[in-house]
Amino acid sequence: MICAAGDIFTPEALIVLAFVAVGCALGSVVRDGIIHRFRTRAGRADLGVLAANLAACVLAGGAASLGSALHPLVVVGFAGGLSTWSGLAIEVAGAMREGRWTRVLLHVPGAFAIALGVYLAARVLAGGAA
Amino acid sequence: MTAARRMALVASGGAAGGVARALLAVLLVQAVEAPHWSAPALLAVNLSGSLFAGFLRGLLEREQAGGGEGAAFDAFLLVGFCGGFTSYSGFVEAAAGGYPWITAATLVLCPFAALLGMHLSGGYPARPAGIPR
Repeated sequence: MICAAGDIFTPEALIVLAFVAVGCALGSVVRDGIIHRFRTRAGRADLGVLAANLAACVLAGGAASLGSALHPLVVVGFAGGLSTWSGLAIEVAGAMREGRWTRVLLHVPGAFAIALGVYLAARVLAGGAA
Repeated sequence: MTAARRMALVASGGAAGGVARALLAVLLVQAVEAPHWSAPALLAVNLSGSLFAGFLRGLLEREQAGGGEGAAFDAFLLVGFCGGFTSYSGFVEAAAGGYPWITAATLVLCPFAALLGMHLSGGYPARPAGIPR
């Protein structure tokens, strides 16, 4: 939970939202850079989305034991901005339209299994419970 | 468009999307008065974000087909706002905490939401011509 229900517009909650905004802005720029690099070097934007999502899951798992002060900045903001469901959904929808079912399998169940694995592994390595 | 301008547009769109995600999640939990509704709230965020992104992608395709560039539109709304609004890491975090039905629904419905958005914008045909199955 980011802030308690009913306390959304208190000064403390606004500071939390500012942390989310800064983290998400940075995460979005990094994601765009990763996807751009994969698109220009390998011609595969979908692999850039996958790489950004996996990196965000490693970060979210590793930061699971962080205190509540850094959670909005690092997990909700930066990792949330670094990862994207909309970008993935567009790539998968494009693959479905083109009949590239192997790519659909890679990006839906495949990516989810890998992402869950790296998230849990990062959480264990960081000292949290699996 | 310069790299600095694109970066500024993506960052501002991402910040707006992240704040919208956080606010919507809190407001939905508040509306149903049940703290354990944060995972369903994230499903609503990811579904609506995927639908909106598909719609924008279709509009962008139409703009580019008409000779326009649409780079600012792409950077601010599609990459920035929609990318920041939806969250794959939050989805995986929720999946690790349980919620098998929410997980399955997100995996199945988000790509179809994007596909629906593309069709609603009228920018995408059912299947591009010339690409074999």
